[in-house]
Amino acid sequence: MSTHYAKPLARLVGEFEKLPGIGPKSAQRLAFHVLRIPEDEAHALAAAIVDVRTTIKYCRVCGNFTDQDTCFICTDPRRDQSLMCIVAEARDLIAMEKTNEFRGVYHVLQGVISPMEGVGPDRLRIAELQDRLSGGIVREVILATNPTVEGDTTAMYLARNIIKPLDPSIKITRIAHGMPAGGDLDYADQATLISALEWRRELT
Amino acid sequence: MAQYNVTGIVLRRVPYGETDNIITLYTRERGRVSAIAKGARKPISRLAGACETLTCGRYNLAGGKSLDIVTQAEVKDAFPSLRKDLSRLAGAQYLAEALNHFVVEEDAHPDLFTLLRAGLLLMERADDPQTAVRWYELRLLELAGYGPDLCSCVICGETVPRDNASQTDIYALSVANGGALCTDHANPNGYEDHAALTFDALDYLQHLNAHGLEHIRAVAKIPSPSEATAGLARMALRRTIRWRIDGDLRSAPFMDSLLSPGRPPDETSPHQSTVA
Repeated sequence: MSTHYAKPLARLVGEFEKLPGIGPKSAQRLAFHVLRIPEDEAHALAAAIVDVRTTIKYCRVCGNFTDQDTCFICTDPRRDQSLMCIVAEARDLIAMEKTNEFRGVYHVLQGVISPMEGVGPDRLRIAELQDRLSGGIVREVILATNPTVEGDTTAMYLARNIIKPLDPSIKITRIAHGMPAGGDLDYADQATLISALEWRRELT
Repeated sequence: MAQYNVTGIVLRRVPYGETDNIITLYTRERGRVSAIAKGARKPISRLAGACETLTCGRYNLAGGKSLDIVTQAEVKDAFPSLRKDLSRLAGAQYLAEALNHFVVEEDAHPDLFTLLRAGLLLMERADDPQTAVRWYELRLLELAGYGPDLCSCVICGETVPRDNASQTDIYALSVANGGALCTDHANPNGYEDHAALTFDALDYLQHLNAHGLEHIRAVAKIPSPSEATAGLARMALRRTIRWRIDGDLRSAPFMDSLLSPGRPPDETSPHQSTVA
């Protein structure tokens, strides 16, 4: 903790420095910003931080963040319970929700298999997934992990070692990979173009 | 800011900040190099594909203050078949992690680059991916200066196996002495560093060891040995690697669970920690 600041200010700078991507300079800037904002805004910020830590927990069904026992998606009767989208993180669920296209339910793994980092299947919410799939309600599972080595490893592991042995009648699909909207074919790499060709669709 | 071009394979990719990746490349020209690929996690990034783990590419790097910066990148081989087979993809990750533990920053060793590329090609094409991994381990140990002597006993110098050898003879690989032990000196039950080898397992390792970097087509066609032979060969080389890097490779348990699901439980040492 720097001795150039008054003690409470040094404490705040120190706390900001612990945040991801925040260095000493940014921490100082944020702390000085807090000193400039009205007192009620500072209280609101502090209360929001405390509130999120005390009320937010994982949904007992899907693993999404929620302030209830079960999240708003899992309790929504309009959701198609037979269609499940598996994502790695809660932020991926939010990205899917923003599309307004998916009307099924989710399962958040809370990570991906990353053998090189020592993250194996036992560290993910796979037991909970098995419980949900063994209910016989889910008829299709969409594997929506990122098209990275870790994401592909996780998707293949779930398909081959978990879902198929559990219930071979469940349809297993993977989100399409290929050219992004606004992408440039000239700059696309070999793997992306191979995926784009493999996942091509007939124009009608 | 000095710029330079290298041909390399991405050993590791770690997300950094909002959209960046820090990648560890093993390059032909400079050995291991770490660099930041700015914006590589954006969907339309021109660096994204080339900065993915297990991708071979041509990279233009600019010297930065603490980390070099990837300014341009072009994929040469993304090994797309690996992405369709879980066991082979797990094996490929093991190859990359293993090499990463035997090298240091900016120490060029072009043969190691050639080996990694050959290893990834083999993981795509080899008839038996487990055999490809064993061959890669032998070559990696050799290029790192730790290649075991598999043709003669490291204690008495006698050729192994003897001309009149029996199929039931028990040999060993002495992890500490870096080579084979004849039937007289092998004592797998008495010495912790003696990894037991049957006649078949020793023959299998000798056969693999006779294939250099230029023989990858032949390695790709080597059939899988019996489960017992494969298990002993795996354990002997795994223990040798553990001895050399003073820890276990993190990706080994996952690969083993897929490539050799019936493996015996004695695969990791309780005395040594996982290498960070």
